[in-house]
Amino acid sequence: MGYSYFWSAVAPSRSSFVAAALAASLCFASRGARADDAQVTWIPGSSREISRFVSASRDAPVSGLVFGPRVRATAAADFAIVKIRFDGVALRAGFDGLFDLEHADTGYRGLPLPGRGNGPMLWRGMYRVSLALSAERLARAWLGPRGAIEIAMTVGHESDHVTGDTFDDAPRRGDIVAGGGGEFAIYEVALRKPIAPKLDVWGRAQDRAYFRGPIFHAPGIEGGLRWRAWPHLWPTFSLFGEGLLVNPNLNGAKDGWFVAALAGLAVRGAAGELMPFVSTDAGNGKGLLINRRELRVSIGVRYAPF
Amino acid sequence: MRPSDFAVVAASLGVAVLFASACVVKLDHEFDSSGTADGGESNADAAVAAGCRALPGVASLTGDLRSIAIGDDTLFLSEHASSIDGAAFLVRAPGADCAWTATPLGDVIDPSPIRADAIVAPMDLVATDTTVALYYTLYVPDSSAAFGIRSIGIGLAPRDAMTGHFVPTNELLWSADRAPYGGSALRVGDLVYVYGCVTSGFLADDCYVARVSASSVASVAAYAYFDGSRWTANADASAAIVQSAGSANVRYDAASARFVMTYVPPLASTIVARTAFAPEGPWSVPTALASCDLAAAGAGAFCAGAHQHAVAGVPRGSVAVTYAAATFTPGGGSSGPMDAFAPRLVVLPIP
Repeated sequence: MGYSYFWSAVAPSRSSFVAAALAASLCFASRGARADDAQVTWIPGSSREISRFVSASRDAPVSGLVFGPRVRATAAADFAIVKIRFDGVALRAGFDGLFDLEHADTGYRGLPLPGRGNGPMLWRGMYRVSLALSAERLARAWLGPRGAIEIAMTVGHESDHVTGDTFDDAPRRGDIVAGGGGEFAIYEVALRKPIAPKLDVWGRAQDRAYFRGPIFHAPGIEGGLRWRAWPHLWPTFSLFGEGLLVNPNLNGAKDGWFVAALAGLAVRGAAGELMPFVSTDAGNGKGLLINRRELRVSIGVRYAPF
Repeated sequence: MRPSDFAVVAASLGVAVLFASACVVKLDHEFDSSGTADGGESNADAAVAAGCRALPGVASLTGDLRSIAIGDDTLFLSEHASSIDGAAFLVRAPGADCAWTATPLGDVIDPSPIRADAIVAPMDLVATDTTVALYYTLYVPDSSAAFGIRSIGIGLAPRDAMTGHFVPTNELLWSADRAPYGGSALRVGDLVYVYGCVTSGFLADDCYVARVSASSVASVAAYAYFDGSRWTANADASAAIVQSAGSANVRYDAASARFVMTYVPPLASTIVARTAFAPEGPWSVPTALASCDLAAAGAGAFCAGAHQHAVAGVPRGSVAVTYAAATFTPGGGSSGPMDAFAPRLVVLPIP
């Protein structure tokens, strides 16, 4: 709880600082650049230079199916509306959203698909708009040919619901209410560096600061390895962890946490990437299952067009 | 890509999937979908809460109490008010220590205009736009029925401000085969929510909720029923909001910004609570708050009531609840010590 108060107290100043830093970077990067130097590309792909397709976060905007322990399906879109490259940097204005369906109970009947899982179907919706600035020239100079340095600012919304009335995880004292949804801003910094001819390491640090909702802050960190082993098969491993620093004055809620590890084999082709994966995560669930603290081992498959 | 590379990757993923096999392990006990963990209904070890005897100066008072604020006073009404003369009282500033000064009101429930021989059994009280109203069950004599009476429906009796009497209207709101809405009545803004619990199986009651404008409580056509996701005028579409409960009582706790439902499961001895952020739920799993003190009531006694009351001296995060011992033993309530069946007030923590 002490952390929650701390983060609440510093939230405005931190947000302002990051926003100011981002704005300063933009100004600095564009200084001296002429308009006719800029390369504008519409719908160039992901909203980030360092893709979140391989993220172990449950909030990553990646479409996929999880077959167990709870049947879950996510429909997601993540794309940059425009990419403006100028003076060694690239600015992406992007959008991402996801619609996540998850059955409340484990197991399934027949096929492990939404509607065939056990228990009521829960869903959460999230959308975000972002500005991401990638220092391409600097990254290549510092980190090598596939290196990337990126900062991003995002604002978004999450809401959590249940279809029907049979879900009775109503809050007990100490629980996080309303599934943890709300309106928020995310500021993040990410790096990618090749550490071998076919192996990249990447990392991202971020904080989700809420304007509204039962959570004050959700600081997180993640990282991973992508092995470009073969032209069409890239083994992938990633880790993710975040804290949920909540408003203790709302239902006496207690802080939460979530950690995850994901291993998969990305099959790459002209139509995008398809990745069967195994994920192990622990801590608070997502959406209306946020108050279920569990250790979960999941199998699934995810897909990204970019 | 060499064949050996494929083999290594495939074997690694195969082992990982087999090892994983999609499982889940609970890390703490904050959730149990069975509804019996963390002191749920099945918890028979809840501490006995004796509390204090409510209205200690009234020697013949038995049965649980319901209450409502009227001006600066609080009106307390026994569930036996229709059969015990003088089971209604006005209390100035009631406190959790039961040190009350009560003014007996005598018989405040007028006979039913529907049948002169009917018994008007009080359920719960609620503030309407103009007065205070009492929901009641109307019983008629029936020698073939258990205990010699049979319910014919649920009605409403607004309080006459001049006489202070509750005067039943000329019509019943619901027939006896409906959930007995009004077992608990709650004013939320301009709406009145009424809850009714009906037997769904052996020692199990399912509870339903309806709502109505506070200005139209006497009109059954104005009620809407919760069907699980929305409110509908079709009473047949109503859905149970909680199952396996008893006669539930719901009040709003401003300190926790939650609605608190308390009840005693049928013929049980444990006071149970659930909470929700909306009057219709969804409701939390049940938590056993305490066991009733039935020691003096003799073998076969059980607990009834668990109505909540607004009294002074209740700590933040707690609720004041009354209950009373009851028994089916012939002569149990009359030949035994009357104190054993008197209403008791206890202060219990909200889960």
